[in-house]
Amino acid sequence: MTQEELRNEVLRVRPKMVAQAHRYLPGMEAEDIVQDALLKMCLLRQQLRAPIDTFASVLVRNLSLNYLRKMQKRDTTTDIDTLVNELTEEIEEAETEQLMRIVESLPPRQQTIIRLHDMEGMNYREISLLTGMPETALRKSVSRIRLNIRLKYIAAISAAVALLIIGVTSYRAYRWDQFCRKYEGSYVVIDGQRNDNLRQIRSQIKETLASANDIEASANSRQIVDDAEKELLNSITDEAERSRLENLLND
Amino acid sequence: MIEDKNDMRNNIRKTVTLLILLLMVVIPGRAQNRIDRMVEDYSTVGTSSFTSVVERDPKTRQVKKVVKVLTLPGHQTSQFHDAFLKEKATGTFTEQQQSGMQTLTLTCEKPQQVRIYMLRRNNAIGKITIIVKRKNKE
Repeated sequence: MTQEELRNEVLRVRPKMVAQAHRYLPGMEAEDIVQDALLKMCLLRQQLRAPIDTFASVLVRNLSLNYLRKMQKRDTTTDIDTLVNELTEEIEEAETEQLMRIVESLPPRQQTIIRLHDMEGMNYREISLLTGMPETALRKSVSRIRLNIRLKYIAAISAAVALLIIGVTSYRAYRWDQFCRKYEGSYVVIDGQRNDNLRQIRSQIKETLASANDIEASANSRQIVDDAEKELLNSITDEAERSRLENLLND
Repeated sequence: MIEDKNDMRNNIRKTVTLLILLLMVVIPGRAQNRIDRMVEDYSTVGTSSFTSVVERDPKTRQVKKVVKVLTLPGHQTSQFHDAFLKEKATGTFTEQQQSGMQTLTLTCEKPQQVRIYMLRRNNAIGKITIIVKRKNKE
């Protein structure tokens, strides 16, 4: 369909689309849905054939229902539920993005078929009208494309998981190497049995160092008090007074 | 004959001076290490548990700190208590008693390291901690 043909078709069906959207949604939201629908039609212009009434109607209905579902989810959730939902949505969005990348990597004809069928919710008859392909061939084609997408998706997820596992394993190995370099030569003797295995005495090493840090901090603070006392005593010139104060501090 | 006597006197003088010098070097070291040696000896005794942690710089592997902790039954700690009291003149010494727990701390400063000794004990258990920390070069 040419741009001119699409313009004429849109001018013709637009009032119907607005009226249909208003049945689902009020005011501006309905207008937004129609705008979204028109945008999608522009993107699919080359695959469209006049008349576009059915296609426009299906598009408005699907977009409106999706919008309502999204709004309903938001209204009925509590704070924690909202967080969980947002997280789930983010995961779903990431999955959708991954799927969209796979769809975009398909040949143009396959892309069009799967977009119309699975994303726009059109049935085989409608797609057949648009693309000129027989319905039986379309069914087989959709099935093949879905399988292809599924395989590519599994491969992408597996690669991501493998990468994550490799990353975590490498990081743990690095951390362990650093630990060994740092505490090499440490050991524990319990009831006369010496254990040099750092992996087994890891907790004792940590405990010992934590307790040593406490002792050091306490020793340092004592040192500060001692120094302050010395400074105070040195500043007193009167011998008797200094001696009295020294005794007082020592008590 | 007279020359022989003079030589002998000189030799004795040299030997005595050498001995004095040697004692001057060895005695402070011995005093500092009395508690260390006792900890090493007790570490292999059956009823004790001993942990020695060496902390290094991971890049250079140079030792930054050594912490030794010996835990043993309370009744075996009296010798350590005596050792702390004998060593108290070699550094800053404090003694505290709180809720049935006695704590003795000795801090010895050396040009290149600080050694902190701590004994905490009650009737049931005693814990001796030695921290040897390398001083940072300024």
